[in-house]
Amino acid sequence: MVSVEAIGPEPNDAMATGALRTFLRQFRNNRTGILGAFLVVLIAATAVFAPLLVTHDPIRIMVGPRLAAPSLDYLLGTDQLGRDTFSRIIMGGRIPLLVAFASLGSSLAVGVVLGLIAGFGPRWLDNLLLLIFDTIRSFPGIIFALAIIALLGPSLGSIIFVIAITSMPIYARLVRTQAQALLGSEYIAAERSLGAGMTRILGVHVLPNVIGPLLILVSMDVPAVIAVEAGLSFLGMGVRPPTPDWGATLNDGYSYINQTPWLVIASGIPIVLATLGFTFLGEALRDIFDPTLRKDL
Amino acid sequence: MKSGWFRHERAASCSGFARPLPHQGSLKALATGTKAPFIDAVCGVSFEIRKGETLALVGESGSGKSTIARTIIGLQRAVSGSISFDGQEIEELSGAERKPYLRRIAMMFQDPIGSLSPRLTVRSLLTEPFRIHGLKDRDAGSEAERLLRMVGLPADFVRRYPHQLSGGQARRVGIARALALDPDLIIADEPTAGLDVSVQGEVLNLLARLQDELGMAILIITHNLNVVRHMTDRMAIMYLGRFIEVGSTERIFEHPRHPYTEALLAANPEPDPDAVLNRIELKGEVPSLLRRPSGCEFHTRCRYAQDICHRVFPEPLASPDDTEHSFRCHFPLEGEAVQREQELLFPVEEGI
Amino acid sequence: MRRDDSISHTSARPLLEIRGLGLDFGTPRGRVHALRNVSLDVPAAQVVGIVGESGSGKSTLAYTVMGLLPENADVTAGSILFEGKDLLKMPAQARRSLLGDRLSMIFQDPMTALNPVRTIESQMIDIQHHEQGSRSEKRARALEMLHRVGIPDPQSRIGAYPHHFSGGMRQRVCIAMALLVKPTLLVADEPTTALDATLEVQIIRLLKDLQKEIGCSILFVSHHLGAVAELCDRVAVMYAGEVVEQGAVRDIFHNPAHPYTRALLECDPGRIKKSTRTLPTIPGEVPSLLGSKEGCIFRTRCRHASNRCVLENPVEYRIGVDQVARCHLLDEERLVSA
Repeated sequence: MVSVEAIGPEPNDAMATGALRTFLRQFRNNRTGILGAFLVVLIAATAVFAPLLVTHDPIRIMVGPRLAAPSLDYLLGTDQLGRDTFSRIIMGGRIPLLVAFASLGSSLAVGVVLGLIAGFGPRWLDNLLLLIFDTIRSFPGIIFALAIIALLGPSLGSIIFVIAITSMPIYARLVRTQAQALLGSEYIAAERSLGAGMTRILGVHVLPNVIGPLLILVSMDVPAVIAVEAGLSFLGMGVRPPTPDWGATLNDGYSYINQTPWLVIASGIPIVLATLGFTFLGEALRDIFDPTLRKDL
Repeated sequence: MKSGWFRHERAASCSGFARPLPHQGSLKALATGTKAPFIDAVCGVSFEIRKGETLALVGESGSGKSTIARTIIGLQRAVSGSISFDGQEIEELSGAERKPYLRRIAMMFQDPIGSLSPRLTVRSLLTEPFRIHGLKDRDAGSEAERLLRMVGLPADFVRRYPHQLSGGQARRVGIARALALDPDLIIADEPTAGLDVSVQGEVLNLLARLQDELGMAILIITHNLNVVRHMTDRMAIMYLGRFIEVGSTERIFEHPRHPYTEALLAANPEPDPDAVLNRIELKGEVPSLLRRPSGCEFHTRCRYAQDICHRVFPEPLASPDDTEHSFRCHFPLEGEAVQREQELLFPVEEGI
Repeated sequence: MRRDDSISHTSARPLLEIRGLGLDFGTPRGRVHALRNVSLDVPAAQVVGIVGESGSGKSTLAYTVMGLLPENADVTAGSILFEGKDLLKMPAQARRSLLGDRLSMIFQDPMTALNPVRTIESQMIDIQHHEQGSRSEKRARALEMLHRVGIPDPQSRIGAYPHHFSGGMRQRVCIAMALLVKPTLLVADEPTTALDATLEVQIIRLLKDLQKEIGCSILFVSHHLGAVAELCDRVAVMYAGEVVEQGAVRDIFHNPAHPYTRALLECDPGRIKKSTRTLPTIPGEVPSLLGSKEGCIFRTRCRHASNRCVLENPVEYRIGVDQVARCHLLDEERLVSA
């Protein structure tokens, strides 16, 4: 189609020196990014400092009446066992966030490495890795999870392992596709012609190009992981009662929704905020990592 | 011109090397029973570049000219033949052994913007060669500014990203990067591709000036004969991976001996509505490398083709009065005969 | 093969009249004034070339005539009269029905202009949806046209997919499809840019022959002066969104009046016969088209720029019978001669 060929490159005198300052200046101009970062920091800080924030013991039952509405004493009411919902929500963020960071972090690390190997390595290795990725993806997620947990025993570690394994192929495939597209690009050939080695090409030229799409994918996966963790906990495959957990509280809330909506509302809000926060943050990071998408230049 | 850059008179020479490309359609290779799915992209090409000289490889797409450049720089391997640089055989060298030679050969790629890593600033792009070759003692900031000055760009360009450059500016950055390590040979693949006419001249003038100042040899790869005429000392015209005519630029422009050269020379005439009728229309298209024509490979499109051209592969002939000028043709054009022929075919219009 | 001079400046109304056309692109950085006060005529049965460098707006003009603009484009002024009717005021439906009927287009990249997963046959039959007749009649017409554009053995090639053809052949197929609907105006956007020089010669010849045979007009957009000189009857020279000079092809190439046209012709290395190490250039860069534009658009790169060029936007000055240029120098010359 028509390219807006009339736009010449604009001079850009006001650019800050130093990568970090540039980054921060970029970030300042991105409103949804700031909101996302704020939400993520808020949720993470709450999880870290949870023991200092709780008003009641989140595990003790019958600290108050059952299924009470919010009051000054019980900020978000109480649950069916008379536990303080506010304290349980504050503490309940720790498990899902831990699961999300541990599982996605490890699957990202493995996925990037395997994806680069598949993208730049010999053809047979690429085919072998693709076969492995597809095999993993072809299992129905929940059945696969149940099988692994049956094998390893129900624990937080099992959940993290299952999520890491099942999300890895998506990242690896993304990295592989990007790497292969870049392999044919002229600037990679130009770098090779200067004598650059493989590690330099991968680290300096390929990785920055794949990190953007990966970040957004990962941050959008965080909410899904929180949901999976909640689901497995509900099935008794993850954390056991009475450990506080958003997903578990939400599931409890559904059972008592006829009597009080407060449990669903109280546990739904942090899940929604976490989802929005990570998504906004991911989109902002993607825009900043890709200089061609920057709006203010 | 400076001297003493080379121990030998030759900067680089490539002799008789062939470069097959993997054939893309494996199905086809199976169907025809071919064992090795390779096609010869370049065959039996020999040439040398002398120090400080400019040589042009000219041909249309698929003629194999870029393949030669990529083989010299080590992006592809030759199947047979040798490439020597400053007396050293480099085709057999492994990646690490080749690295010191890559310091002395720089390549400019076709796409001015696409050949610059998009996430690096101009400063990083220009100093990338120093980092790759471990020259840590150089001050990146001042080196980048020195290089920008050499190619006539303002120093504050160091902070720009490739997408913030126009085609001509990006091309200048590409030239600056090629000059970073003071190379003895620059390979310029279509240096004017994607540039407007008003900018093409600037880039070519810059290359010519830098060559006068620094004395490096330049290998220009292009389909545009106008680039060749003003920039180069010698030229080689390629067709289907072979040299069909080699000689001094001046001489070939004056007396092309191969009919293909003649047609290429006529393909971009001066923009004059009254002079248009001298364009020579070649029939048909470049044949596939998979099905090379018999005999002279140009006979399918040649308007002078005779029976012998279908059967016998022409050996290179040298011009009797200039042994450096050679061509592969059974019926080479004679200077005067060409004139006569054109008059017969295209009667010159009288008056305007 | 002599150029027929009698066809120029007929009194009949031109097929396509562009009057005072202005077009902006909305971008995050502001409005880009991509076309400003563009006026251009395409007389019936003539080939009009638009030459200019990148950023001149020549392709944008072609796409505006076809109504194929992106979302962020906004026509701010002017009219495009095609066969006497204003395309810009026409209902979308009526305008669309002109495309592929009275108006057709060939593109720069012959690969992306064809649907890669359908055969040439089905695409060529589909494009005749405005026509009457059975499928076999349409197929016969398609075969005839393929033969006409020089596809060898069209009977067996018509069932092939676009990727079975080489670049030059694909552009021939595109031309065959564009002319199959017997358009009165063919818009060609850089149709030879993606092709090798020897193929460019073939395509130019082909377009020229077909234009004579069918009698349609062609709006030929190109940056290649040689191609324009060879094919066109009239030429418009564009720079940074304005038509700076237009007229009959001989006048423009033999007697360019605008400094930009002169500089552009000087730069063409095809004109420089003697070997030289220093080629002529146009120093400076094409100006940004953001924001309002006062004065002559070329003044920053013009050797003859004066104070008047900064203050005043040049109007069209007439030179000879059939040539106009936007340059204040022409006004002064006239004053001197008068």
